[in-house]
Amino acid sequence: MMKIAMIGAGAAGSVFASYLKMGGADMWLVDRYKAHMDKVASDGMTFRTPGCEFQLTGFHTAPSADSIGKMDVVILMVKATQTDSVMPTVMPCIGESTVVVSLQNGLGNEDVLAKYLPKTRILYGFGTIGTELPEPAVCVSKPESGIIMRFGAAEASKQNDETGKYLEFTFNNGGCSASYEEDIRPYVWKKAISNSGYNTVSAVSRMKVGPLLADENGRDIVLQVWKEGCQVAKAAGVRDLWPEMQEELPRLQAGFATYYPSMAQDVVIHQRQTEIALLNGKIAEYGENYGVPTPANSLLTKLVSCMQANYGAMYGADKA
Amino acid sequence: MKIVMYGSGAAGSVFASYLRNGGADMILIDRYKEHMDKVATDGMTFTIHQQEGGEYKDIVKQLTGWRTYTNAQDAFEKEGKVDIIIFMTKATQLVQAIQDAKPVCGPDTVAVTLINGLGNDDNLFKFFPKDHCLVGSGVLGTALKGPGSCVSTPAGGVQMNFGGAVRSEATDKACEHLLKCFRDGGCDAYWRKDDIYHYIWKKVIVNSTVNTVCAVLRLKIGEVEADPWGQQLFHQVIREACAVATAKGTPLDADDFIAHDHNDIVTNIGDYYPSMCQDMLMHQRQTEIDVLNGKIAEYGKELGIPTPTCAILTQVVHAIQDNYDKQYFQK
Repeated sequence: MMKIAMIGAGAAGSVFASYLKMGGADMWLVDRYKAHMDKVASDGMTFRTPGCEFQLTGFHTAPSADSIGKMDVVILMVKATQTDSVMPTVMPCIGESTVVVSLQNGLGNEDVLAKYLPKTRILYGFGTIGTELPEPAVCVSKPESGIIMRFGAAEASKQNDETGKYLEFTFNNGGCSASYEEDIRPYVWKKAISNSGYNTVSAVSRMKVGPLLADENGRDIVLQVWKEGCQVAKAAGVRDLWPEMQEELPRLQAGFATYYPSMAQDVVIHQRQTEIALLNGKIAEYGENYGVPTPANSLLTKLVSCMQANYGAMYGADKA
Repeated sequence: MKIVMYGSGAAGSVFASYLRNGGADMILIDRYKEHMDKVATDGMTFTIHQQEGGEYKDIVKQLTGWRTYTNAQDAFEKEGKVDIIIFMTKATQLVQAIQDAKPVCGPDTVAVTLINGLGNDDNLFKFFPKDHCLVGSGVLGTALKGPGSCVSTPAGGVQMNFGGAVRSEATDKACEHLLKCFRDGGCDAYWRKDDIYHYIWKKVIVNSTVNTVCAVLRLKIGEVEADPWGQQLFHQVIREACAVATAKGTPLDADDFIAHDHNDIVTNIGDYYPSMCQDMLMHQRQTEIDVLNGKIAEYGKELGIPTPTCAILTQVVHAIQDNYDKQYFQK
């Protein structure tokens, strides 16, 4: 049985850890949210999936990673923008054979980790699961259909392979349909490109996905963002994703038309920090490195970065 | 000289009132019948809302002696062809207005547009010879309180710039007359004999920069300028616009513009929401985006000058103003 640390046990971290726990892993939760950690340690985690509720016991919990000993696997689920500041406190639980996994949103997470350990011990990917943490020690999973967790190696190696296969088995065993991919990059890029389009433009135009994509200009900006993203991905060595992106439009129209996607919720409803730096920001950054023009991604990055630095001053903020 | 103000909304009524106050022979043509009737019978109540030493003071004048019509054919039957016709419609309605105004326009008529933004001159040139065209723009707040009553809120500094599209006997004569009437009427007007486009472009660039970026970000000018991302956005628009202006024959240096013109704006009106914020955020009205960033992007495309910032901002503003009813509002 592998020792797995979940660094960051918010809603998504808790749900992912619960699936792994159900699948048989020896789980260590690391989070500063004391009430949550204490309750999980004493009473266990209440884990709700569609139609089921489980009471999972046997989690180890800690406020930080420096006292939990060496782990076999360390999964990062802190906000991706915080990885760099968190990693120094995580290093004590990373031994010479530990594999580190990022299941965080956005692009470039594996590159941040590569500053701390070789890519032969780095896995990355993402889950497509709606998650909630309504109170301490209670987490809720609202999975999409089909495969809801994908990850792969930053660089092929025996260690990555063994860990990837173990995680795939354990997730599946715990009821989470997971896939260890030979090449994870197209999946990660496709998700990031898709989000950089509808999610970001929805936040800037303050519209739900349906009316946004029904509007000629709104749809056109989304497509520009996607085109640029596909060109950057191609320059990074990923296959041409453009044909697949075009199938995203009807999928989004059908599935998400009546929602404010996550970044619109962050900007418009909750005035929270967004993931812009890991989405459009990364596409623009990689674009610059590869010499691929990304004016739409760059402009949207600046707009949202400026908004989230000035929520208190934005017109209408006083009426919230 | 007989002067027609074609389009007598807020700005048209205020501009016409300054001219009438300065002694011009003014004819108003507008479909807004109550307004036309009231001005014809009782005259125009012209309020100048002026700031003096930190305090606002209203100067109210009752201007009489107007002739008003609801269409150009009626005007022609009484007035014949006129000497000067000033178009103050919305930019999007200009071409239709010029066609509708044909009855009062003869070969000697000088046509004027004082409408904000770029491209209005091109529309005039389609119907009038260039040596009978004047262009310009006014820098002052205007409002129409109701039929027969308009308000001018002059900003500090210059209120009106105009000049001939090219210099000619006809444009010089019209400019001279307009200058005299504007000035005698209390409007700080300038006849820019040789470089009117310089002034038009500068105003357009200021508006395309602070108006558009502030409206999308929902922030005041100073707040955007203080944010490093926001400042980059301001500068990107200025750089694209200066490159296009230069290629269109009005040389403007972006660094110079940032150091002086833009800096003046930030210093003087940093604490304000510019007018597009009022359109978009407060009143959910259609904005002037198409004759500002939209035109810059259009010219850029024609000239092969990259203007992605202006182009995408235009699309963002369109997506918003075409869907006010579908937007999230905090109430």
